[in-house]
Amino acid sequence: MENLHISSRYDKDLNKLKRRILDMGEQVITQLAEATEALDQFDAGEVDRLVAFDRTINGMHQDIYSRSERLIALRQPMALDLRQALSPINIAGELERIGDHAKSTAKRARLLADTEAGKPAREKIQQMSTLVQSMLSDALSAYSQSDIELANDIRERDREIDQINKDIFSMQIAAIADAPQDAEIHVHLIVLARGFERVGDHVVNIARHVHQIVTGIDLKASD
Amino acid sequence: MINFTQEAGFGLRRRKRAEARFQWAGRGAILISLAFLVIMFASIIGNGAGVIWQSQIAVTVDLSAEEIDPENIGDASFNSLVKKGLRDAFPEVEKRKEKKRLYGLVSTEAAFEVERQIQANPELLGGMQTLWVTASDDADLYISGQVDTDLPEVKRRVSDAEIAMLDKLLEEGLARETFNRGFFTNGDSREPEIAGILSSLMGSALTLLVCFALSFPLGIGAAIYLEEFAPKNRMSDLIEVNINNLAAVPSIVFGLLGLSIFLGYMGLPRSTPLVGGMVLALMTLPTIIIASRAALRSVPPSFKEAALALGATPVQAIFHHVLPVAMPGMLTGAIVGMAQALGETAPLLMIGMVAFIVDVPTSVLEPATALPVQIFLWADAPERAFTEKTAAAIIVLLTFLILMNLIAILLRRKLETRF
Amino acid sequence: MDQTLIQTPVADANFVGQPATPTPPEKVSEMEQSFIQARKANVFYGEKQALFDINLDIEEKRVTALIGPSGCGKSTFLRAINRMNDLIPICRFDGNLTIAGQEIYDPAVDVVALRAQVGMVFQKPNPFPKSIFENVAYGLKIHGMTSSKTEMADRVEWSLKSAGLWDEVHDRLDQPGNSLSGGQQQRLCIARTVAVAPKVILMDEPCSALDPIATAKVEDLIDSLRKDYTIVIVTHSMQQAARISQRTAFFHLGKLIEVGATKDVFTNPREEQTQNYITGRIG
Repeated sequence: MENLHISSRYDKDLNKLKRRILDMGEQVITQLAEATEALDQFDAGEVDRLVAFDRTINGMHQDIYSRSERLIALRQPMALDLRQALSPINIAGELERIGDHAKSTAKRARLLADTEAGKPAREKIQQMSTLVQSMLSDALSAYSQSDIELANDIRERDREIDQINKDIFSMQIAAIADAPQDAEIHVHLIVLARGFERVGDHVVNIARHVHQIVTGIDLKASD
Repeated sequence: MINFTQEAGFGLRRRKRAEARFQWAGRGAILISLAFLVIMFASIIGNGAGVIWQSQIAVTVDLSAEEIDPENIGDASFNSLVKKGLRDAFPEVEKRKEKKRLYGLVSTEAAFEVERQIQANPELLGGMQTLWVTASDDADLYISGQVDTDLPEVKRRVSDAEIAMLDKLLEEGLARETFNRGFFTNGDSREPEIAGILSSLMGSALTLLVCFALSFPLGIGAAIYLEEFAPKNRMSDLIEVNINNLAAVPSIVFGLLGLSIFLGYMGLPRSTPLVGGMVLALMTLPTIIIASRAALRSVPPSFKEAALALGATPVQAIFHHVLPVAMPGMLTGAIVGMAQALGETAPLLMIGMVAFIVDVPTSVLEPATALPVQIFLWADAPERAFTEKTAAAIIVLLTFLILMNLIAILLRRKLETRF
Repeated sequence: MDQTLIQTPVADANFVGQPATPTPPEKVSEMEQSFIQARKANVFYGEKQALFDINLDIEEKRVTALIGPSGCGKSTFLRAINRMNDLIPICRFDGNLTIAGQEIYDPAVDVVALRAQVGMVFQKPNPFPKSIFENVAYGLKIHGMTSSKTEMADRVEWSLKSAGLWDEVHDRLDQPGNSLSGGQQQRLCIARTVAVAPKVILMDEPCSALDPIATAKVEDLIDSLRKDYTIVIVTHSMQQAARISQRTAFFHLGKLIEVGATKDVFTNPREEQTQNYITGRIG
């Protein structure tokens, strides 16, 4: 990629920051996967662990924030470096919100554990989760390799998520009309799908930040 | 813990010893040169200090109207008056040879001294007066205790008879030692007891005046041009090298140059401070140019740049900002050059400033001699009493040199701008 | 060609009291041409070429920063603008450099008059070893810009006020200029330059010898001078260039690599060499 800094400590600091983001990303992906699994096969202990683990993710967010802050204060980065120092704050913020969603998914798993209602929607949600996880994984590798094409690709893939969300919505509206006694469950499923749609948006945001780091252009502003 | 510093010190003890040896060698060198300096000063001062005191003998002279016409003092024969006074003081002296010795006790100048005293104070006329006159150089040697009476008579310059007469005078209080004003107010003389340095001092002063007036403006002008304006090329390098060479040329060569050009070709008057000053100016010019260039170079270029950037012309920038800062250095260089010139003898010998000058010169066109030349002349004189004069003149010369260097230091201290 | 810029400032007789009021460009042609314009500017030191085909436009009443590593030619370019390079005998300029449309390397141009219009502030504060008053009055004196003592005193006061130094020194104008602190000395040098009412002020690393507080004061001063003067500043501090300039030009190995709005150059430079330099990378 770009040339090395004259001060090698600077490079080390930047690399460390990057690795923290990737670590946090991996944790969030695992968290998402496990929360989705809990939807399918409820395990009360597992859900408690997932909810508790969100604190660790929040802690990682805090750690990245203070590392970025320190880097900016001590190194006074310019141009590309400044973007590389600022973006972890944003990316970690997005990841932290994805983590929050994983937590709420795990909590919702408790409510959905005792019923089989909304099976098709649940399958679709599983599909959404898998898609979102691979998007996030790709977004992280785009970040780690400054790969703009991969980052742009993610924006395309988000359309699919949006479509599934819309499908689930209409599916559930129909399902509520069919079985009003399960309405609560169906609404929960709508909210879950809506949450994964939001996760997709967060992943797109991460991809956007990657694009901004590399090119210096904010896609949201230029769209 | 102690090993911590010892670990690094490979051969430390040997290195420390070498350092101590070097420092002691340096101190030794300074000590030796100081010792020589002290010996030199001690010997000169020891020899020359006696000049401060001068022996005088009281002679009672008859200043009645028969001997001196009050209307026409100059016509009187003061010489015979003094001789008569001496004969009266020693009535027992009768032989011609003895009388000659008696007259020899006072300086040959004694008659003029008496005349001068009367001219200055006509009240003295009419009757007997006891007047102090300068003792002769030999009498002075005895009175100031420089004659070893244990030596056999033939080996002394002062005979037993003279000693007897002087002893008598001393006993009666008719011989004394007083402060020697004459040394500083008289010109040169064949008689050591009345020889003074004023004429040569004035000669030196006038010569230096000419020298300074010529070499300072010329030197500074040349230095400014060479340093600030002259294009830097092979020509200016050549000039620079030659100026440095010129500073190393023996001074006698400048004397020869002065002899052939100023005296031979231009026909300027011989032996005058004008020509002497011109020759010394030639000699000090390179020194002043070199010192002035160094002073100019030591001025930070930022002043000149700042002035130029404000729209000053190069000449304005240099005269308004560079020169004032360089001036103390230039003056110091000039004074050091002048001090060098003050001590210079050889070139002055070449242009005839070696003449015997009794009168104090008052203009640069009168024949004159200079202090170092005077020292050279006195050192060459056969009379024993001139040794003392030589040493005293050296002290005066050294005093002036030290004074000039002191002025140079003070000037630099006072005028130096800090930046 | 417009010959009005470079003439002795005396012609600008009634400037006292209403200094350097911005005059809107009258001719359309001047609107199109930037105030200082270098075209194919080459500078040689003997055989060695220090600047290569510099094409640079410097806008009027803006602060333009020249940045780049040591020996990149930024100072050489700065000194080409007021022809201070002429002082170096082996230095040679080739190409075009116009100020307000006038070619300054025209043989008809008087360097002394040019420098009265293009002032310069140096890296190390260099007040003359004279009083504060004399320092500011010197330029006025040599150019004969004031006709009376009171006029001179007014002009000195105005200059010191422009340089934000009046309040600190008004009661000790007779004290030597180098009795001031480093930052004050540098502002005195700026006052001295401003006194002769130049159109352009060149600054060669003016803060590199100052502490951060003095630097901040000088930077603030530069910012306030911007409305009346065209300022070109060479600086090694990229933060400083970023803080005070509107346009930044990056020089490297005698070439102009990039020039643009400061905010763009420091956030998203077009050239990789610029990026490497401002982020402290091995380029």
